[in-house]
Amino acid sequence: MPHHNAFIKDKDGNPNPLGLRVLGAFFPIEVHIPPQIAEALAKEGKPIPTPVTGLGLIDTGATMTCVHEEILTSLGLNPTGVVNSGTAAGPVQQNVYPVRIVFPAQGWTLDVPAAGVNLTGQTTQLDPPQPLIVLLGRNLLEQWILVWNGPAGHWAVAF
Amino acid sequence: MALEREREYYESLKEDLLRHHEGQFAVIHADQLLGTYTTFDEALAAGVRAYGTQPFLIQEVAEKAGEIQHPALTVGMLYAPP
Repeated sequence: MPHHNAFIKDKDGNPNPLGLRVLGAFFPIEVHIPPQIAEALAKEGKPIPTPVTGLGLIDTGATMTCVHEEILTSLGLNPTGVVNSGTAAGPVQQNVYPVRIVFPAQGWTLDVPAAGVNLTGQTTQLDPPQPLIVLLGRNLLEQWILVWNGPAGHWAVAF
Repeated sequence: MALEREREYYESLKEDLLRHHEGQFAVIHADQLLGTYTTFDEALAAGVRAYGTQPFLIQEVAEKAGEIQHPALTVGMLYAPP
């Protein structure tokens, strides 16, 4: 079973629950165009866009995985749908795109529909901060087992 | 927003689709229903086979579909450095 364990430790190598609280559970990820579209581009003799790298944060509050929309448009993707998103100011419409998310360190590849959102300026609290480009939502988490061990500064996923 | 024509066409077909294809994914381009498919991936593959890289709609056939929430983002609880 593919799995990933993350242990957040302090500078002395001890479990760091506060560090886990501050950082959350994130992965280095790549956003690719889906293979079906890559194949169509190849048939049309068009170049395959280079994937975009950044961080993806697990967000159990998000019903759908969200990707910074500027990245999706830079990859040349067209939306395949529209969803209503609840906000404090009322519902807004957001485009939905098919994307491939690759987890290079784990060797995982997942294809999911994702909402295009504005993640400009969002970072993780690493030093130096790194840009957050994806919120890994529950349409992806439904394939995973997620363990959150706060006191041990440990989280894990398996699927 | 994107795919307005396709979404309008879906709305005109919705009652019929709900009767026979609830839970499936409909693929629509302009005023043409390509078909309904069991999964989003199958629908995407069929849409790309038929229309290449042109825009098309993949719509889950459901009485109430297409609502999402991502509260950490919408209420500003993610981290942005000062």
